[in-house]
Amino acid sequence: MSQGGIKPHASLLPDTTRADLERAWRDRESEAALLSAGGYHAMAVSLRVYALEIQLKWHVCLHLDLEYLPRACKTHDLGDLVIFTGRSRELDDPKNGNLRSNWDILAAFSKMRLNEIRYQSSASFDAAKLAELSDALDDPANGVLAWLSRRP
Amino acid sequence: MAVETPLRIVTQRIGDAIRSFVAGEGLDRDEVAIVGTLDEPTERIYLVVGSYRKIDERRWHSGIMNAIRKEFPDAPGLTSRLVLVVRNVSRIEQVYREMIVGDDEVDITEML
Repeated sequence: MSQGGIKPHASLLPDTTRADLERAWRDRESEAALLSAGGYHAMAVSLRVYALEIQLKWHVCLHLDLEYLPRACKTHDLGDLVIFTGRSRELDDPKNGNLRSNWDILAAFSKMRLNEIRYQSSASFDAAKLAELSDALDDPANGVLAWLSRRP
Repeated sequence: MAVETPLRIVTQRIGDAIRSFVAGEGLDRDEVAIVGTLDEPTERIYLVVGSYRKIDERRWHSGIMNAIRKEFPDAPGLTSRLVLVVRNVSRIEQVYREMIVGDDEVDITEML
């Protein structure tokens, strides 16, 4: 919500604050942990990819020192969002090949599989694929979440 | 694409770079599947390279990206427009079967 009754600039989204985004991505991660503990691994990892999208939007606000998300970031495309975090060139650095591999796994899943997963039975999910997605997020050295947490 | 070259030529050169890397790894062309889509609104290219031969997915990812960088020394930003997934599969057909072409996407597999 807009703060103090003053609307933010028109190029910003008045209903999407930096604080909202931080609460949302942390909540989605907590909910995913509960799903995973309950054995719902596919939904858990899907929720974590949604959390990643929200976290990227939060990082955009941090990078640009904005209280509200820019309208230009009203997208689900991880590749577009990472540009606004100011860190896309790190992903294209040949020295960061393993990080890039993890990023691409998540970007491809987000683009091609995330919508479809809703219609699949839990039994149809490939355990190795789910583990690959979790590793892409959580690998301590080259995982996307570890990378995002190391703010330049 | 923003790259000032027709899409068909760009994709063909990407395919050449991938095939060159595959050959360098000692695999035959028919042991590897290469599929791709172009997302028109974002001009991003999604590539999946899969093989039933046991491959090191992460090393292959870096190797293919580097091969594409070398193929396009005049367009260093091209790889930032790519999303590449390398997969071990039990059957080569799996790569084609699981390919998804979204509403805003064009299948570029034949151009690779």
